[in-house]
Amino acid sequence: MTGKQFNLHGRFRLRILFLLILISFSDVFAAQVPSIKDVYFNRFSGHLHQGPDAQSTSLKVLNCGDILKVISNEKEVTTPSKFNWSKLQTASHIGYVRQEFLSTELPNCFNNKYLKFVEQFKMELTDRYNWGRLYDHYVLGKSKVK
Amino acid sequence: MMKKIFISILFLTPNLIFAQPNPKEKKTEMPTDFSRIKEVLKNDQLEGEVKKKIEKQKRLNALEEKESTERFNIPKENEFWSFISEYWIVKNMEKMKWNFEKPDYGLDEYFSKFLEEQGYYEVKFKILLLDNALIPHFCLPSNPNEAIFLISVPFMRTLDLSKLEISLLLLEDFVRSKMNQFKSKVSPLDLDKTFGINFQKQEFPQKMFNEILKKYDEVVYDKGFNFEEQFELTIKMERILKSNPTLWTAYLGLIEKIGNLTKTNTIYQNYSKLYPSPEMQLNWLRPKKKVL
Repeated sequence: MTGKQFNLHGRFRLRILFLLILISFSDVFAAQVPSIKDVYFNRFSGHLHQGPDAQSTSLKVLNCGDILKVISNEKEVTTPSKFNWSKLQTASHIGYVRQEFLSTELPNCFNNKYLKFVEQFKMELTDRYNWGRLYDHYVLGKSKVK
Repeated sequence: MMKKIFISILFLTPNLIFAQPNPKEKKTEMPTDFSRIKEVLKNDQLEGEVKKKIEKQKRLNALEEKESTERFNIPKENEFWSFISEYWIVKNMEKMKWNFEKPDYGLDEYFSKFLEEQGYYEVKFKILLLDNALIPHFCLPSNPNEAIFLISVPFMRTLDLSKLEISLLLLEDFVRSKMNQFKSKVSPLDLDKTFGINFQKQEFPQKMFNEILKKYDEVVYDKGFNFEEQFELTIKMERILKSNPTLWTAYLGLIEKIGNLTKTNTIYQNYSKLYPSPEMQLNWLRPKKKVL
């Protein structure tokens, strides 16, 4: 009888201990793995726009693999643009990105995979900015699978 | 009892977490009996676990080192061309005049369907509209199953091109790209050997990439394609389109339109230098009249 009580207390203590460990490590995990509402930017370069429109002011240049926090998706975002946009947050800005430029899984980014190769081209900030604008201007499409 | 335990843990935990060793405090030296620790580990069957963890860490370190070395790789051919084409586009933004507001011509949906109808499936395309009459239309080298098109809005407007005609023009460029006509002009001899190499311990072949970019300029702004290449392309287009009378008639009409434009509008005089020549193309395509 006493042994059973002891076991119950033991389990209770273990659970509390496990909970405390989890809490103390939660920040470390949060910095590395995006939560369910976090998404990755999946193009070489792009922009976080002030409004849901490709011509809208750029708040920030985005690079492939950047993590953004989703505030809302297209149903809540009214836009004259024919594309679906997501309202997102980075560390310091809230803005909009076309949904096809976002993915829930870490994309295979050219600029990360060939980091040193890309560095050799010594791109300036204006080049990165213009590369992002390029994706605002492209007419993108894909013919379907047979 | 439970409450007391919970409260005491709650109070004790922050102290344990935030507790920093006081440098002023003198540490009492205690002799450590390592053999005893080892014995305890062995008894608890933890030795195996420790070994597993060390092995796992070694594997992770090796993987990290591999990834770090691979970052010095020059991309393989299947990942290289879209990057270099886009880099060239970015560097030529002012000259090409692509950063301007334009209407939505609905080309994305139309051209997707058009490609499917011609049997080109799973092709990702990017069309960049230019506010520049001197770069009429091109398909730049890109990764497999991708296409990067350039097309001039003034050219489209002056010719009053329909969506079908624009699509035929893009298809012509796409077929040319599949024939590697552009790529072969901008590829230095040693490029194939350079794909995929690691340059961590050797000099980066910057000259070679500068040469490629210079060749892009030459093709787009100056030399374009020669008669032989144009003939091969025209014959290929005939094979693709002739079985469909609507497309065939539209294609012949399009070449005729371009031919008239290049003869009458001085702005487009350079066109025949890039694509020699609409008139010749029509001669190659139209049935020859029999001389009695």
